[in-house]
Amino acid sequence: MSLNPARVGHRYAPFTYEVSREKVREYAEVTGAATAAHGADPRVVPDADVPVPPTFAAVFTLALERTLHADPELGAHWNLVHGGQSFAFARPLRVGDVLVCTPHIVDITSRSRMDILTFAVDVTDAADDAEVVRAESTVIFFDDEAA
Amino acid sequence: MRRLEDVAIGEELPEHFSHLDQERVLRYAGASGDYNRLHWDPAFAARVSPTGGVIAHGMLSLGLLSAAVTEWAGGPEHVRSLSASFRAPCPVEATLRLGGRVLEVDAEAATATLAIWAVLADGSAVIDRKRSRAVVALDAGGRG
Repeated sequence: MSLNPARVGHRYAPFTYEVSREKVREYAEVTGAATAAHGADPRVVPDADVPVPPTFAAVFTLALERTLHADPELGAHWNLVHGGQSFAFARPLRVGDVLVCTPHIVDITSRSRMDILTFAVDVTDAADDAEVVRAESTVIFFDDEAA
Repeated sequence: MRRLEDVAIGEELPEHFSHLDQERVLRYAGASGDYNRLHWDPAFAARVSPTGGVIAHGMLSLGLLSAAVTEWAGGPEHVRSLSASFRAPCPVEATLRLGGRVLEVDAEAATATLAIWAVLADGSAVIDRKRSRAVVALDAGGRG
């Protein structure tokens, strides 16, 4: 099954994501980014001093289940691989951030037996609408929907 | 934070090795929310995986690589951008060698651009050094 090229340019409804200390700790531990601050008592080390790994942005910007796979008009399925990823930061992520994430489809290119989909997520701070990060992902969907 | 005058083109990140066993991949699934069966279900992976077996998340490789870049940069607040091209999947139970090299130093912007990569034990690329970059802010001191 191929993706629907008419979805290029489509913007999904924004969703919010709150950066929580424990989720950051879990992520930092598995990606080799944990520091003493991640396991510290919050009464001793305030949230502002907990480093949030830059790639933590993947946790909310690659939320395919709530975007691409929830879109009945796109035709997304799970026979896919991640082809490329970028993050451009206007400021670092912080524990306690409430972020507004707006995904949109940038491009769909069909090749024999695969579709290459590029989508971007613009992320802003819910408190002041300032830009935080822009993520761009390339996902390759294979036509043989063995999934 | 790295000082501008201390960073030279050709400088390499300290090399890191990471073993991506099934437990780490499962922990990454939980940490990231990416539960695609490709990463933990051998029967599903046998049907659809490019390697025929379970593979690690591309973002786990980039997350590990980003941690190495972040350490070099002196903290996440100095990492301006990251981009990665996932050349081939990393099979579960493989060991990745992670590296980076300064390609360019922009004295005016006080940034360094690094090529970044992740390779398997046989040298084949998981994250392609030709198309993967990190931009790191540097301390320009009195000149900034």
